[in-house]
Amino acid sequence: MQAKIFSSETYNQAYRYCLSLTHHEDDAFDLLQTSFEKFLKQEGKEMDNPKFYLFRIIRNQFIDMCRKNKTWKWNEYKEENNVALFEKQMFDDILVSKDEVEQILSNTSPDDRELLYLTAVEEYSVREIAELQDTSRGTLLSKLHRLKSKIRQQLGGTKIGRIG
Amino acid sequence: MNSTLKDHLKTHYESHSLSNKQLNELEKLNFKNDFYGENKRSKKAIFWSIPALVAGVVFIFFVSPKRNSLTSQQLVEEMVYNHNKTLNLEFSGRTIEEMKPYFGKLDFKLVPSQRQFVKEKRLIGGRYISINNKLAAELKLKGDNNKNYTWYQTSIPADGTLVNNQFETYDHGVKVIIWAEKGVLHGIAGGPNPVGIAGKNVAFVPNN
Repeated sequence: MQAKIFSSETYNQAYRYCLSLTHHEDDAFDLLQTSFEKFLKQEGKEMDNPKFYLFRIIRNQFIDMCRKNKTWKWNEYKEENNVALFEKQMFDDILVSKDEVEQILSNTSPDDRELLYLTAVEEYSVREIAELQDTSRGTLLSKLHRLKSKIRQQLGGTKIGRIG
Repeated sequence: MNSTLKDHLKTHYESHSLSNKQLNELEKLNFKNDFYGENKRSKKAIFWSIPALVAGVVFIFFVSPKRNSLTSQQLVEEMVYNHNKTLNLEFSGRTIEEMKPYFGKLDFKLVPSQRQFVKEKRLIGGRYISINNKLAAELKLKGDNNKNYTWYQTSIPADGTLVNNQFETYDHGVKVIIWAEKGVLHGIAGGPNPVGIAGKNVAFVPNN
């Protein structure tokens, strides 16, 4: 009998995660399909959190695709010491318009979009993202700090954008 | 309208969903995996069942004397137990033909034996007995030096064990020979206690 692994909502969450990486709907679905196939091949493997496991496969698959196609160089994070601890606030303090969101997403790299998606939409904690990305919490916080600064810079040149 | 970046991001991403067609495609992948996964499991099961089957065959064909021995051991113990009880005879007779009318309740007919170790003894009578929970004939024989022997005739077990081999063994110092002849399972208990042999079964000697 067919076992339903994920609900439609989880499929959609995974699709949106793919979308955050690819920023293209068709590519997102391709990425999801490929990753899901890989996920299904892990039959019998112990999984506490299948969704999290699928996200990790998606991420690794996307990095592989980037390397193969050389379309975009995945940034390896460098550890930075003076980390701004804004985990609780994340991106809550930035006010933007709908158009600006489109602009931000178009101008940011896949790894930045991924962070925005995981923090804002999935509401993953820094610890969870660090686990997903197999990186340290400090590295991730510094990355988030840089991302926030980047967004601030982008919004600084517009009339509506305002940094809270 | 201004809102937090987080809220806008949520709205933006949640406006994108998989179409029903896409969801079906993913479900199909899942189904295919289930189907082939089952096959994979079946193949695994077949792969592992082969050695198990081989082990089973090896057990049946090479270790089966042990199984035979187990069955025969119970039979031997029962025969020796009854032999040692020396229960009173119910019917007297000197030949099998004479005894036959008395044993009409058996599921088989009493048969004479061509085995020398039977032919050289004198039949004196018999009685009904139960062997392996089945009605059997217990026939009393006298050998050299007036020694008592008990000759049993019973049905051959349904699984056909004990048909091919005649074997002799000892139980509690009593010699027992078991064989099949003319569609009946025979056993004869009695005889000398060989030197150094006492107690439980110590030998299994297929003769044929």
